[in-house]
Formats: sequence, structure tokens, C-alpha cells
Amino acid sequence: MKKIITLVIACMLYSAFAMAQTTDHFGLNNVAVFGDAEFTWAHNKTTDQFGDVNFKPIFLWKLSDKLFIESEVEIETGSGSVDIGLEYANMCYIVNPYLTLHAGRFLPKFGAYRGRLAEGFLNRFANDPVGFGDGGIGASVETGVGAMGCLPFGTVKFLYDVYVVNGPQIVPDSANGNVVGQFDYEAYTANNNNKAIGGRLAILPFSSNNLEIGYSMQTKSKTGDIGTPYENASLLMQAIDLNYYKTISPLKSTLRLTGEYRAQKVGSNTVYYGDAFHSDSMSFKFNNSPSALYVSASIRPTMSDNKFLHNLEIAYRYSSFMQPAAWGATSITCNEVALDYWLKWNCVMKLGYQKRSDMIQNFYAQFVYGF
Amino acid sequence: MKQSKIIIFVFAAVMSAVLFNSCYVSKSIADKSGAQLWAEHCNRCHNAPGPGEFSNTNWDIVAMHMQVRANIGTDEINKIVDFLKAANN
Amino acid sequence: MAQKKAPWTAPPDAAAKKNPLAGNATVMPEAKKLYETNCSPCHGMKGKGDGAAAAGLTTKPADHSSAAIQSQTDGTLFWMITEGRNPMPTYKTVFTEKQRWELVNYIRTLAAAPKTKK
Repeated sequence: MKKIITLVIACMLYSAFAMAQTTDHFGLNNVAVFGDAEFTWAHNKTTDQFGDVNFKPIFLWKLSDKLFIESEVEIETGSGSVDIGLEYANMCYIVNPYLTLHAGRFLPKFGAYRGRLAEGFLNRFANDPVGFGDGGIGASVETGVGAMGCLPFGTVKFLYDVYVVNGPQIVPDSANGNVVGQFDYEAYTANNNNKAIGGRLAILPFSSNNLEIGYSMQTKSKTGDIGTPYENASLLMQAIDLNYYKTISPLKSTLRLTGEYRAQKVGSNTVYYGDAFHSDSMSFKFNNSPSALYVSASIRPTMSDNKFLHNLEIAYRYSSFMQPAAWGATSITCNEVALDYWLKWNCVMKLGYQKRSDMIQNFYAQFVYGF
Repeated sequence: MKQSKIIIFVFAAVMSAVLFNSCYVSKSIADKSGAQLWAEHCNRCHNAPGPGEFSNTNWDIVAMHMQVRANIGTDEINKIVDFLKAANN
Repeated sequence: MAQKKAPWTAPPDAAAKKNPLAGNATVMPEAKKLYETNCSPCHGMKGKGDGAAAAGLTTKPADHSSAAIQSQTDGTLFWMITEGRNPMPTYKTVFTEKQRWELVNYIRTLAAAPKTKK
């Protein structure tokens, strides 16, 4: 099966590249392939490894001025074997300058990190802030339909996104090493007759468009499998994100600040009657209200005449992941510094040092080539 | 369920705003050049790719991708693309 | 890593073209606005080639205050703005001829002072 998938992807890649190379041809239906390749070296007291070789082609089709398809295939090796995944396949219809409708599997605007700032050549670090990667809070991709756009008012812009998706599904047992009360956010299919509704409203308050502040929320009234006692476990997730950059002439540098806080809460209606996993209790409540926070700052002497300094960037990030005691995990804090060297606008070499409260200290290097 | 009602309300409000086409931009914003908008919007999340980085066809495609990813308005993205294409002469 | 490009030289007839606005200071307010709107994102507010958006460019934008630029004829500067060279866009259709000459005049005001100021 895997061989067939690989073959199909190889054929897709080949045809897409072949078409993309015929630039500036006429006709409405135009395709291009972009994406990135990643490679990481990680070192600590007990391990030293080259790994996390990823190849993530993004296929973009412009069918007309209004119709557009974007799709990303992720080929990842971090788990020790080759994982091929459909990250997204999103069909868009640009209705008017203020409204775009879309359907498929897409990157939801829940916060600004996942699906946007986490991209290899946007993230100044080789990994995600704690609580913002897989196993953290919220989905990276969702399956459903949505509407989005930009509404300008005077010198201010409002960015909006609303969507209806399959949404999170509660994990009721600890089979397969799962954490009871955590969610499976990225299921391809639905587990009951309910849908999650979510959205993000962001504001660009300055006319120079260099500050974006967003508020996101997502809610689902039933997250459990249909017909089970925990079917009615409801969920509310919220996030606040900030993204700011400024060129500081006296320092000949560009400063970037990003941050995000996200939290989720299971509704108090989630009474669970004991079974093999909870034999000691007839009424069990999912205790599942984790939160995660990160703040990051980076500075790059973009105005320096020195070519080497000009391409150098220094970044610091603090992140914390507060996990419920019921998960049997402690809360994690993480401090990271990174030294990045830009080879091109989308190609970067990262050198990092990470100190996580639940791990020994790590050094890493990562190459990301966007294309 | 209360939350979903709020979302539906917000959605309805946004949609009616769109329908009544009440959006307007101040003159200082409308007068912005493609070069300025390119510098401001692209740099918000990543280093702005230089004009001449891609072919004209590819710029059109990239523009749609970024319009969806970063909620950039059609008027502004069109100005950005015109600027970027102007280096491919 | 920007590779060395061939020198950018205007054809002799373009280089020799007379500036119809030579010495005309009345156009300066409009020229300044044009420059700040269209040129400064890459070339910087003072023309030093250090605009905020230049970080991602493979070719460093020209320093308009430098001797290398200031020693060019008005005709050459006009021709460069008109034609462009990747990644410098062409401004043949975006600006009128008059606007392009105005920009030439404005670039002259950006010349670095002989000493002191860096």
C-alpha cells in the first residue's frame, strides 16, 4: 500500500514540476509547486542523531481568478519510519474582495502559530513551543467548510475566519498510550452527529500593518463517540495571539515579537460511568483544562552593511504547557535560544540550545530550504 | 451551545457588513504603493521575497495562496503582485 | 550570497539625455512623496540601500547617497528607473516621464555630505 502511495506521489510531483517549469504559459489553469525540505541534528548527553528529514511539497492550482486549490503532502521521518500524510487539501472560492469560501481539509485559524508561524522558514527554532506541537492544544488541520476575508475600516483592518469542522474527539481511555481526557484533534472522519464551530477575529490596528492581534475560539457540544456515556463531553478552546515587527534604525535591526496563549476546557456536563478503565468510580469527570503560552523575540541587523551580520538573527523563546494533574504529567516550561543564518529569504540554518523542565538540555541544528 | 450562538451572530454581523459593502479605506491607505504593501504584509510573517524571485504566472498563484493564508484583501494583493511582476521585464 | 552582476550601464544616448527639470526645486514635495512611497521600502528613507524590506533580497539595493550613484548622469538614473533590472522593477508604465525626472532630482538631494555624517 505504502509503495503505491509513494508511486502516486512521485507521479504527482513529477507532473506538477513538469508543469511548473513551463513558466508564463497562457491559459487560466496554472499550477505551481512550493514547499520546504527540513533536516535536523539533535545532540544531548545520551543521544546524537541526524534525523527529522522532512519533505513538504505544497501544490497550488489557480483554476481561475476566483477558484483556487492548495494542497500539502507531508513526508516525514521523525517517528523512525516514513510517514506520508495529507496535511491539507483546500478548495477556495473567492466570492468578492471581502469574502472567500473554502471547503476541504485546511489549516484552521486557531491562534497564529500552528498553520502559520510554525512553518519551517518562519519558525526561528527547530521545534515547536511546548504545548503548541502535536500532543499540545488544538488542531493543526481540520476537515470542514469555512469563510474568511479582510474587512478594512479607515486605517484599521479586521481579519475574520469562521468555520464548521468535524472537530476534536475525546480520548476516553488510555489504550495505545493515550492520555484520558485528551483530544484527537485531527480526525479525518466524524465520530458523532455534532460539529465544531470556530473562528478567529484579528485586528491590524496600525496603518503600517506591522501588528496583528487575534482572538480565536472553537467550541463543540459533543466530542465523544456516538452512543457512549461520554458522548456529551463538550469542549471550548480559546486563543489570543500577537505578532509584531519593527525596524529600529539606531540598532540597524529588525525586531520581531510573537506570542500566543491558548487554553481548552471540557464542559462540566461530562459525567462518565465507570468501565474497565475506571472501575473505582461510577461517576467520572474528565479533568482536562490545559493551557499553553509562548513568547518569542528575535532581532536581525537587516540594515547592516556587513553581509554576514545582515543575514544573522538571534532569537529567544519561552514556552510553558500547564497540563492537568489527571493526565499524570507535570507542567513543562521551556527556554530556548537560537542563532539563525539566512541563506535566502526562505532558506535558513538554525543552531539552538533548549532547556526544558522535563528533559536534559539539548543542542540542535536545523536546515530548512523553502522553495 | 451559547458559544455557537455567539459565533453565528458574529458571522451574521460580518456577512451583513459585507453585503452592505460598508468597508472603506482611508485615503492614506488607498494611496499606498505595491512596494509598501509588499514590504508591510509579507514581512509581517516572513522575509519578503524579492521582486523577480518568481515568474509572473507563479506570482499570480502565490498571491492566491497568501490571500487565503494571511487574509490579505484583493485590492492590496493585486497591487503587491503588480509591483513584484514589474521586475520581470 | 549575491553573485557579482555585470555592471549596469545605460546606452550612451540614454545617459546623455537632458533632464528637463534640472534645478527645479518646486517638484521636490511630490518627488519626496513618490520616493518614500515607492523607493524607500528597499532603498531606505535616506536612500542608503537599507530599506526594511531589503532583508530578503539577493541583490543589495543601491545606496543612492553613494558616489557610485551620484557620479552617474541624470540621464543614466532616469534610464535605470525606467528600465529596471531584476530585482529592481521597471517604472516605465507606473510613473510618467515627469515623475521619473522628479525622482532623479530627489536622488540628487540624498548625496552623502562630503565628510562627518555617515
